[in-house]
Amino acid sequence: MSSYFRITLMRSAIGLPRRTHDVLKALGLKKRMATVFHPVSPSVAGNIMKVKELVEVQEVDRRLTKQEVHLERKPDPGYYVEKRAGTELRECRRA
Amino acid sequence: MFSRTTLARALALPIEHSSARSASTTFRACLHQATSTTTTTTSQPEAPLSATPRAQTSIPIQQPRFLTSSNSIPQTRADVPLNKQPVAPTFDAPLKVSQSLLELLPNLTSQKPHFITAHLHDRPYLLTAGDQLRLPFLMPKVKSGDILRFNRASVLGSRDFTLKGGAQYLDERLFECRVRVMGFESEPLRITEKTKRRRRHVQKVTSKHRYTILRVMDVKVKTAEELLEEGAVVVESADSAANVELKA
Repeated sequence: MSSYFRITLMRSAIGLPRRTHDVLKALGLKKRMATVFHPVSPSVAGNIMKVKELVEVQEVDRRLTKQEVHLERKPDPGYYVEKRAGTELRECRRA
Repeated sequence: MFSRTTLARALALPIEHSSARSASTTFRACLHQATSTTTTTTSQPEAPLSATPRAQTSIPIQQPRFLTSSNSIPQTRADVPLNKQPVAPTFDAPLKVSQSLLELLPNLTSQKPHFITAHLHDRPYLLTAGDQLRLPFLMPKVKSGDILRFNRASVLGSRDFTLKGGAQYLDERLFECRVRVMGFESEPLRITEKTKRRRRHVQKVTSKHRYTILRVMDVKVKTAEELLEEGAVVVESADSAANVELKA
């Protein structure tokens, strides 16, 4: 069973050494709150350890697409159209 | 240097562990597993005690699945599952209500008028019947005269009683909140003057937003009899789907 690291950049690397920037680039993290998925492997784990103060890590079962990550944050609309404008009038005419 | 080696050892463990668990491992994976096990066993005494058990007990978190109407994994921004779209819901399971809710509900239903804290896109709007509501946005794909149902509420109440949803929203089968689209309003034209450096020119940026106006037709809390008629199931303890309580 393969698993993945879900890595989210919580703090920016602005003002930190060049090496830190490079590690984030290697992980594919370009801006804050960006989320990437990498298979669990020692090399990725080592990269995470280099920037452990900046990222939040979870071990998850599968990769999510970008849209799925977005949908996690998307709230429900909270409404739906019950009746269209014309239908009430038509019902009255029929009756 | 020491820390790096110990770290690698600690992190090599979960992979070896997981590959050993699955039956269908390829030959290369088996090879890798064999090598990693030998390294870990030889260096076991040196490994830090704290790192080893944590690595072994890790279970990957199961992430929620959002499936689109065609039962596929959403890829683009156009793929939005039905429960995140403004469409009428369909229910698989009947509404579960606790006994205490059924006993206390008549207090609330008999006392009119009711208010509701309805959530549109997770923003709360405190409404009662007859209110006019100007939304801070233009609602898409609706025309004036349409009747909308609000189906996400955190609080339902009257003068003395409230029905609270707690952490999640109240079940939408407990109440009816209808609003009618009255029309659209636009704000007065706003002109912002922008100036750039070293440029003898003032740029004028205009904006004129449009907003939807709604009128609340009715806010109705369904009575206990109505709920039971619609097929609500009475659950004894408080672990019902509608995790609610009445507070005087």
